[in-house]
Amino acid sequence: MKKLLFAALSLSLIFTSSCDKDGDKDEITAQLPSSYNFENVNHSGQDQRLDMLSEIVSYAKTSNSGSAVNAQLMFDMMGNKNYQWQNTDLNSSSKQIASKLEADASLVMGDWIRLLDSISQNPNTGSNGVAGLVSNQAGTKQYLFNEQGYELAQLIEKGSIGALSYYQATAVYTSSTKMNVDNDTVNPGKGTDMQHHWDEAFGYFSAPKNFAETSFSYDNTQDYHRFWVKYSHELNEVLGCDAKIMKAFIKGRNAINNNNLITRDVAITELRQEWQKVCAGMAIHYLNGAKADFADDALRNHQLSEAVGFLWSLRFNPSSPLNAEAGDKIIKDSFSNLYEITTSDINAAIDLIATNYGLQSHKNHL
Amino acid sequence: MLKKLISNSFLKNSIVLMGILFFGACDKNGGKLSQVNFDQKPMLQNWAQHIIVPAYAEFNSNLQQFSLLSDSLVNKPSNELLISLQKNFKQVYLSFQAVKCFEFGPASNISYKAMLNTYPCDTIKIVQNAQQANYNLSTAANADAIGLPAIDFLLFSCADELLNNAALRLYLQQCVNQVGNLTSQVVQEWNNGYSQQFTTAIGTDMGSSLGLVINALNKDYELIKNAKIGFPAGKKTLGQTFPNACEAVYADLSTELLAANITSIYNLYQGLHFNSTQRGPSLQDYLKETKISYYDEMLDQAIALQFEKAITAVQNIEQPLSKVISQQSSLIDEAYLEIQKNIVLLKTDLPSALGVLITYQDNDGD
Repeated sequence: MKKLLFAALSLSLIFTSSCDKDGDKDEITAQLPSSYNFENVNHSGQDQRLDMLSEIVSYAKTSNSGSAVNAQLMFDMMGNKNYQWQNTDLNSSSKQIASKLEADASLVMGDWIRLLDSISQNPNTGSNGVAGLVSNQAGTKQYLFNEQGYELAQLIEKGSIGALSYYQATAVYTSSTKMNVDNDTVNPGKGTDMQHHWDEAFGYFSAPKNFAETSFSYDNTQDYHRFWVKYSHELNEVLGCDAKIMKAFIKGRNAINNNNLITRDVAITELRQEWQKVCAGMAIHYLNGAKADFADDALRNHQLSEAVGFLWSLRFNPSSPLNAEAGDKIIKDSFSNLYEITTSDINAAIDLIATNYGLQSHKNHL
Repeated sequence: MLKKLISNSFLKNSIVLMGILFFGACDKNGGKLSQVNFDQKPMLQNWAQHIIVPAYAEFNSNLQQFSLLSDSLVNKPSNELLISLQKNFKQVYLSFQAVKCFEFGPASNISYKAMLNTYPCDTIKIVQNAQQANYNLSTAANADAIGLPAIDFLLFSCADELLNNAALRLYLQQCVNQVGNLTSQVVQEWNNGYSQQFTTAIGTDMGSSLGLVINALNKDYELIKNAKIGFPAGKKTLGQTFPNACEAVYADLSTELLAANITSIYNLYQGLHFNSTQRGPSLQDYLKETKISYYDEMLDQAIALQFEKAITAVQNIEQPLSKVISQQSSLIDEAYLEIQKNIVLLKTDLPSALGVLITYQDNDGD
């Protein structure tokens, strides 16, 4: 009887250990909570900005059904002034997006918004050299492209989650300026300054606190199915990124709670490393998609625009192997005109991204 | 005694249960667990050695012959050469049908199918390109002015012009060379390492060869339904037909190519060696092992039967689709219906039986 029980236990041990693919059962990991269920977590400001971004992106995408987009209205939305949100909870919010965008990126975004305004006024059918609406071969999707085939709504969406969320989380709230702050005085509901800054970074990732926990089941009808959580989950099968990013956030907050700044800094490095794999991976994902739909102007250019949005966003992470200049060079070399692109152009970009972000072995499966 | 027996069997059951549970916890494929005892490797070897590589080799060799003829036509145009090219074209296009469902790995890397077979071609663009002479046939913008559809147009709709116009002959030669070069690239990659990689990528996850083949097979089969027959027959356009959107519309090969394409996928399913009646380990064998039934028959047989019904229904059309598609004939409706019936079996039942995910649809909805 005892032998049988023992056999059962050892069986379970074998199977448990065969599941553990990380193998790094260091002391801290062993003590880590499985979710971001900490005291005094408040990232309502980030939640509000992302809700605003959802509405802005929806508005920008109305251009794909032929509606005119007004640049001033989009600037007002970005700045949260003179605008009544459809999501009425936001009308009492004091937060805004415009001031939180990375400074150089903010100028580029402004240009994109004005360009979207200009090409969305009474658009005709688009083609190489002519801005306008382009349908896919099956006649089920339609996008507004500029003369070079760029879907501005996609650049604005992917660019925003780069210049806002990704930038704020990886470069601002986890920077020494925001991290070398008081960690003693607990403000009710917000924790210490250091805790709060960390929670704000987590807010920009915008995951539910139990995201990627073993018992968590992803549901793409839920509100959290957007922006970085959605993209991380899209690549999770290949990269296992959901749990890795969550682990970095949990590890960092746990370390701050214990005032262990060395471990906190390890978590910052891990967070930046894992998150940039999602950004790079999504660029490759859409480039692969563009190759699969190479002969379909609408589907190809739509996916290339998404890819370029992620490629452009890579620069906002301080640990990015490709800086702004290198990113711009890839965009100039491979994506100057999406109608005239070749598979060699696309493959050159995929290889550069994959090599720099450690995704060579995954690049065909993303 | 009785009590002991019960608890003993309870314990044994618990052990089994625990084993299953832990296996379950390890399963990251997202699909159902594959309890089937089937050795994938011999099947993958059969596919690579006896089906895929020989099919590419045959197509490649047909293209080399064809290329010699087109070279001759450029140098010394004659009606005789033109007729030879026209005759050879049928064999070339038929042998392409045997490789077009392998759009993964080396083929998907260069958007092979889009580069070789985007139809209907843009005949105005073809003539303009030929006259302007400074064309880049690799750009996306030219995807509908190259490949087998462009060759079809030039050989069968511009026969007289070809004999009298050196620029058109040169354009034909460039198209033929491009198809040849792209095919050689794919053949070389299969021969230099990819076969090895393919036959060792065992499993059911996204990068597995089984996953790649089932996804590619489905994507091609859906293309058969939509592009080869559905769209020209007006199935998506309220019955408004488009005979000129048929494949090989100028050479009148549409029905034969349709039958050949379905047959080649059916042969792959059965594990039939290329151009042979010999069978090797197959998808059908694999499915048979699952012992899953479909209504009152086994799933593997239901799929096989449906392939046969579809092929017979297509053969019953007898004349080229492009000639009869506007007559609203019941033969065309029947062929479309029989082709369509296998979609759900191939895209839902087959992948779920084997624990493979269909991933080719970009389902992020934006």
